[in-house]
Order: sequence, then structure tokens, then C-alpha cells
Amino acid sequence: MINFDKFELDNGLRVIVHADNTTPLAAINILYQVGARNENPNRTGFAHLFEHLMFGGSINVPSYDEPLQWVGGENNAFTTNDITNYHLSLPAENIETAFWLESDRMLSLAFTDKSLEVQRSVVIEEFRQRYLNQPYGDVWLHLRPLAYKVHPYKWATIGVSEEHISGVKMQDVKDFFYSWYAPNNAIMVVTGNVKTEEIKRLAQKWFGDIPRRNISKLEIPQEPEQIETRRLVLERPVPMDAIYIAFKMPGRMAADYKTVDIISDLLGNGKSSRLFRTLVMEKKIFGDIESYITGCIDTGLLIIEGRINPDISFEQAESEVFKILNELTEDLSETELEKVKNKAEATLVFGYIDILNKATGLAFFEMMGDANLINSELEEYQSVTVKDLKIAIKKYLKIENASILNYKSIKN
Amino acid sequence: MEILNRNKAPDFRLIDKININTPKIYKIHETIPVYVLNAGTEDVIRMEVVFNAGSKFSEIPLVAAFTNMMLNEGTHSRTSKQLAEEFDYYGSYLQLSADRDFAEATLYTLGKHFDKTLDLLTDIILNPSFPDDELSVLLDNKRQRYQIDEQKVKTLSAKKFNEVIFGKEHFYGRNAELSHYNLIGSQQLKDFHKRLYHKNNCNVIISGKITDDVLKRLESNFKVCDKVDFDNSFLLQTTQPSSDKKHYVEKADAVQSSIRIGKPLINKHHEDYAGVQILNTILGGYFGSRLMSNLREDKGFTYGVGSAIASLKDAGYFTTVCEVGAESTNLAITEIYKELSRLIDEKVDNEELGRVKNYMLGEFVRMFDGPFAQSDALRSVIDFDMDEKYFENYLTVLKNITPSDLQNLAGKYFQPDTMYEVVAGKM
Repeated sequence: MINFDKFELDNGLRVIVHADNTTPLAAINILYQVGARNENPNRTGFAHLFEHLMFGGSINVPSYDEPLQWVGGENNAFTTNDITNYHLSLPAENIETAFWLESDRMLSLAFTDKSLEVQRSVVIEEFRQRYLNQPYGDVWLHLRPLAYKVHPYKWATIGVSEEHISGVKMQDVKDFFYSWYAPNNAIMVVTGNVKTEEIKRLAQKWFGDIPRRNISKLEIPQEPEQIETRRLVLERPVPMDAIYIAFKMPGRMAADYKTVDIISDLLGNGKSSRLFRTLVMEKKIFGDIESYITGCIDTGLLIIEGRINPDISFEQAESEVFKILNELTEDLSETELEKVKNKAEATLVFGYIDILNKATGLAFFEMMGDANLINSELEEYQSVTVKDLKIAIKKYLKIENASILNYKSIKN
Repeated sequence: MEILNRNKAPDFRLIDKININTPKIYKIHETIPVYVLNAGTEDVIRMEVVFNAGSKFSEIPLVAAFTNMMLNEGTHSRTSKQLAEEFDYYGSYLQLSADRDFAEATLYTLGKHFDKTLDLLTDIILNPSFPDDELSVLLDNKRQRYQIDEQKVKTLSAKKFNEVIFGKEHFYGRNAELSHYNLIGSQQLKDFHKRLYHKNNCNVIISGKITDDVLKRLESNFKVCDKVDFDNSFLLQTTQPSSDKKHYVEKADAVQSSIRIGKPLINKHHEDYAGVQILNTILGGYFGSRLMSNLREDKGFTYGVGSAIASLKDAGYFTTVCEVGAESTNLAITEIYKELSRLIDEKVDNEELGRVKNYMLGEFVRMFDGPFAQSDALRSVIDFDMDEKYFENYLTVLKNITPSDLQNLAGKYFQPDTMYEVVAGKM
């Protein structure tokens, strides 16, 4: 059970405090409700580039990192298709420094040309390092537009191309900031060796005078139901063939979300999972295979990805995977379900040991509607039945609902 | 109502004390040291069993890794499938790894399942059967991984760098090659296991919520083999660094190059080590480092650049690491040397040194926060037959080190003309 207090400032900033006096540290997580799904299709990668710019100095403080380092702090950030999330940890007695820095960059950035110019290059190098200069690195640049035709999940957070990043202008940066970065579009969570009353005082002092802003109301186009299998073949100079099968699944808050999550665990999480056991260890069809979900707010994906052994065709590999999916609807036992639930329990307990992870988790669930959802997560997994699973497998893991990418190895 | 001055940093306090939790040390079965760190609020346990059984103890480099990986592929009483089912059923997680010095099995489990999962951990460490079928699957799988890794510029530069600074034949400098996978058979692994997974050759570190029951259970269950000959000797070799300073591994289709610049260096046992770590932090050891500020935040050459001082049991080394756009490779190299020279030519100013000291003190607090962080910290000293005094000494050095001390260390260890330079990619 993660206990917390919650309050809201007049400007709409929601603040959550989880006190833990067993640590000398405090952590702060600030979640802005903007991600790649909120981008203009002609300026993709922008939310992520913007995350970089948030470290380029704010209106009154030329450097974000240096003052934080001065007081023993450490920070980082990440951008997903749904959110942009900033987090830090520092010795608890120095927490006011973090309030100063975070509030100033919520108030306004410095918007310097130098920062924009340099971060454009840095992000392009990130694009190359993670997506272009790695074997199989470009899979998601192709799998997303195959699976999504309408929803902005069709592009990756890094963006569709280097050109989208290199073409960004300062006016774009300013417009984005004032459309999305605002107290009424943020959730702040403070955890660690702190007291709620003190956090209230600091929040009011540093964030209280930041004005509310008009948050962009652009509707996100939702993905229609998929009715036929989609296929794509990529030929690349990689050593082995690989297959990626993406099934559409319900978003985070939908009733079936946890059921499908459990299915992905049964199929391909761990050495005892069905796909790994049968297709790697016994039949030797794949060198490795796994299954996982993307965990998005809107329509997400359940992915099965595997490296195919030499002399096995794509057709055979695919049909073996679907054979396993069929078997799952026939002989699924209570014990197997219990195993996956036990795993989910351990994952949750281990996942929330650290004050920083607790802060990020609380912020995420608050965005989803209520921070207290963090405390009912396990119960929700535990209430899934064998019957639920069978129904969900038939509903979602069917070939018409699949986008299949064959990543074909060719000689260089 | 107070008037807010956003231009001025709030008051802060310097960290003057770090709580270093001292482990309780027990001996079970008279010889096995068990380090116990009872900490944290959650009912979780991490148990690490570390053997002196890394790759330096075998002639073929892969023997250690495969012996380690095969532990949970079958025991005399459980098949590979049963082991996987049972570990997963209890929601536990087993991590097997082997490096050049050590091989370990680490169990993460909820406290309520400790009894059951300890049985499994004990079984795989004591009674592995090394079945041929599972071995052949694992060999195929890892061969594939190897081929994929060989396409990454960072793998190519890391391997070359090893060879260059230690020598191709040295047990720290040699790299696994594709052909080595064909030399692995189950008998070698059995022999290696018998020789080194021995009670006189291991440490146990257990952290989390550790009750008396946990310790009793450990004493009665964890009966590590003591009946065979035990020999953890290995062929001592002197390192033979390359006679050429510059090395280039070309990868024609690369859009980025991976650069490593570095050299063999002192390890944890040396009295200059803490000071050199501080110097390295300034150079490339944190986000605000000189290399990051220069190559990333000023010039935009790279997504990330860093440097590290690494300790191996019988050696140490220094290296800078980055991947840069192919067209910027030469410019980036020039800047790295410039930053090395700057540490030698100019004293670090007090503002920068103060910031680094405070940042590192914060890192110290983080290093000892929570049961698993503490056991990581502990592990980093007991691997070197040291104890928590290492950290006390480190803290003393950190608090007292001066710009002149750092300049002297830079002159002694960071001379650009002593560095080896490896580029993999395109330039």
C-alpha cells in the first residue's frame, strides 16, 4: 500500500506527496500530459526534442543541471507517445532547490538559439545511434505506420525522419511550450523524506504564481478497428531473419487491458513462457522469441517478436506462432494463470521499491484518473480468470487483427 | 508575503555524513562468508552467490560463460523446463552472469517464497547436469547474438580496445570469436563447474528483509560442494599492450563511429584511485562533465559521451566512450585530447570542483539508499577483498582534494601521448 496526500493549487497544478522517512533522499517527478501523440504530423519527434530543450536554461536560471549538481542532485527525463516525464532525486534537506529549478522552467524557458541548434544535432545523433546504426534498429519506424493508419501512434517518439527534427524553428518551440507546458497540464509527485505541510508551502511559494494556460484541445484521431492482416517485408543486411507480429489491443484504462497483458506474459515473458519453451527450446524454430505490450493510453499493441533460425521460412515461423496461440485457447490451466499472476505481483513489489519509481508510478496513475489506482493494480491482475483470457485471445490475437513485419536478412 | 527572487538559488546544505550500513558477516559451513544487509521496508530478498569462476580461469574464453548459463538448464533431479516453470511460478527472477573474473547466480524473490526459491537456487548451483540438447540450443542462440553484436560499432570498438590495451593473448585482452562456439562441449563445463563452484571459492551476499528464519534456512540448505579438488589458479600473464597507438576498424555502412580513447591504469587497490575517480568524474563521469559539455552540449557531435575508470581483479583501465556522426569523428577525437590536456595544463577552478564534490556526495547517498543499492556497493569492494573502509577513505579524499592534487594526478595518469585510440565505423 502506497499512502499519499494530494492537493491542487489554484492554477491547476496537482501535487501528490508520499512520505518515506527511511531514506535520506527525496524524489520529484513532474509529468506533463503531452507526448508524441500530440504532435503535428509534419513536425514529428517534437515532444522529445522539446524534452531536450527543457534542460537548456529557463527564464531566470541559465542552467538547470549545474545548480542541481551543486546540491547533490541527479535528474533525467523521458518522452513516450503519451507523456513527457521529468524526474530527479537529491538529499531531502535540499529539496527547495528542485522547486526553484522546476518551477522556473514551468514558468518559461530561456528559448536560446544556441540550445535549439545544439539539441537538434544531439537528437539527430540519438536518431542515428538508436535507430539507424543498430541491426534491426529501424523496426519501429516501420512497424508503427503498418499497425496504425490514423492514430499518431503511427510515428515513433524520435520522429519519422531527421528532416522533421532539423527543420524545427524557434517559433515552433515557443508555440509548443505555451500549448502544453502549464501547471494545469502537469502532475507533480514528491516522495521520500518530506512532510506534506512543507511541500504545500514550497509548492505554493514556487509554483503558485505560474499562470494557467490554454491547453491545446486538438482531438487525437482514434484508430478504427482493423479488419484484415497487414504485411510488410523489409530487406536489411542483418545476420538472421526476424518476425514482428503486432496485434491491436485496448488502451490502458479499458476493461481488457490487464487480461491482454497477462496473455503477453503467458506467451512470451520468461523462460517458461509458451512461445519460448516450445519454439526455442523444443522445436528450435526460433533463436529467441518474446512477447510484450506497448502499454499506451489509446489503442495499444501486443507484440510477438522472434529471431528465426536458419533454414526456417517466414511462413513456417508464423504458422508455428499461431499454432501456439490456438493451443492457448484450448488447454490453459489455472496453475499457469496463477504463475503469471505471481510474476505480476513480484514485478509490482520490486518495481515500487525505489522512491523515484513510486513517484513516477503515482504521477502516471493520477494522469489516468486517480493516483490510488496504483494500489489496486495487483487486485485487478488477480481478478482475471481463465475464461476472460480465452475470450480475449479469440478477440484480439486473431490474424485479421495482426500487422506482420518480416525482417529479411540479405547479404551486404 | 515573501517576495520571490527567482534569480537566486535557495539555501542548501552540504552533505556532511553518509550512512554506510555495515553488513553482518556470518560463516556458514565453516567457510562460506555470508554478508547480510538487512534493510528496506518491502518483503523482498536478493541473494547473490559469487564464485571466482570468470573467463580467466579457462583456456577457451567461453567456458566460464556457458558453465554459468547452463546452471539452470537442468539438474540431476529437475529438467530445464521444470526449473523454468518453478522459478517463474514463484515470481522469482534468476540472473546468471559471468565476466572475466567472476561468475554469479543472483536470485530476486519475494520473502514469502524464499524457502522454495532457495531450494531451486541451491539445486542449480550444486547439481547442474549440463544436458547436451539444451547446450546446443543455447550455443546456437548465443552464436546468433554474437553475429548481431558484431554489427554494432560499439561492440567492435570495445573488443579492439581490450586487445589493444591488454594484448590479444592476455586473459583480459582476448575476445570470444565465432569459432570458439564450436569448441564448447558439456564435459568441459562439467569439469569447470567441479573445479570452481566450490565452497572455498565463493561469497554470498543477501539483502532485503532478512529474518532469523531466512538465515537458518540458508545454513541448513545451502550446502555447497566441498568434496572435490579445488583449484582456482589461473595462468598468470603479463599484459602486452599494442605497440601502435591508433587503431581503426572499418565498417563501411556505418553512419556513426564508436570512439574509445584510453589506457591500462591503476585499480581499486592503488592509493591514487579515489583521486583519479574524482578527476574522471570531472572529465566524463556525469552529465555536467567536460566531455558532455563540450562534445554534446556545445557541439552536438553525439547523443552521449562519457569516461570511466574500471577495476578488474588484476588490472584496471581508463576509457572514454562515445558514438559520433561519422563526419564528426576526427573533430570529436581532437576535442577529447583537448579535454585531457586541459586537465594537465590548467587547475580546475573552485566553482567546478565544488559542484563535482557535492554531486559525488549526493551519489554516495544514492549508493547506500535501499537494500539493493547497498549490496551493489558492498559487492564493489568485496570483489577486491576490501571492506567498507574503502568508502570511508574515498569520502576523506573527496572532501579534501585540491585543484593542485587533481592537476598532479592528471599529469601522472592522463598524458595524451600515453593513450590508445580505437575507432570503429567510418572516418
